[in-house]
Amino acid sequence: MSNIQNDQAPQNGAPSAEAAPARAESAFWHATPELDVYESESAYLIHLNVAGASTESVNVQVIGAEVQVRAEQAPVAGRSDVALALYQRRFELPSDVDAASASAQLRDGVLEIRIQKSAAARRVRIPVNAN
Amino acid sequence: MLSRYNVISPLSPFWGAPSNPLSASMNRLFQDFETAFARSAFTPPARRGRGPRVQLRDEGESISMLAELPGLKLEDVDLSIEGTTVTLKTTPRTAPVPEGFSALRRERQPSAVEWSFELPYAVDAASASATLDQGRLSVTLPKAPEAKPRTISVKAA
Repeated sequence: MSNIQNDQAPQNGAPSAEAAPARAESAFWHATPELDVYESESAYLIHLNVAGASTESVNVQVIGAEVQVRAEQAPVAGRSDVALALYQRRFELPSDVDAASASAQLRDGVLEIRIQKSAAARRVRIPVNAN
Repeated sequence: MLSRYNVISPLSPFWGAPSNPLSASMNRLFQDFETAFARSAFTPPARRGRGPRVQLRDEGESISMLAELPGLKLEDVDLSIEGTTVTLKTTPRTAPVPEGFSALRRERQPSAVEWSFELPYAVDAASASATLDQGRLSVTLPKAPEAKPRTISVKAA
């Protein structure tokens, strides 16, 4: 399960949602994942290339319009000394988002994050009435 | 004992003697590694050269290969061995803009990959195996019998 944190809704009950990393950060090589950002009238959709990332290690934080992503590559069974990547990326969305609405999914090494825009940032169509 | 076998990975200087001539041919990958290291998380990644990030290792009885192919499915990957040359080809899968959305930024432009590498030993292609898990292709290439390591027993004179 992906671990989504935001500054608006504090974790209830859980002592810390951030699991203690099994490996020291220095054991990884640092990678900046490429990303795609899509926008609709009410939401943002973000795709990040995080090949080999383990679902448990994915950590997405939303602060205002800023999104921070961190993910670690899972070790490869039977291969102790492959170089594993630590993916980290921080980026700003064009408008504020509703952090509580964020959801993330990992598929084929691509992390998909969906975040609703905050009510103030949504585009509202005003219907024009003909007389 | 850090490195039991020859490391044929572009990252060899970190684990073993960087004396392997193969590492020179993979210099480009190594530079990629260094620049990725120096990049800050704020700046967008520099467009990587064509080709996936690949690690190759000599595991004694076999050669292991790891390639990063995010967003690709099994049918997009074509791996072949001819003699001692391994070739990895991928079909570019340009993700369509999701319906109802418009693109603000697109960095994940997949290019068609055709990557090949000359292995230092003959491999038994028939018993090679490969798996694709979360965009990471893991290949095991067992060495041909004549290329496998042999233990030489030393007798007391």
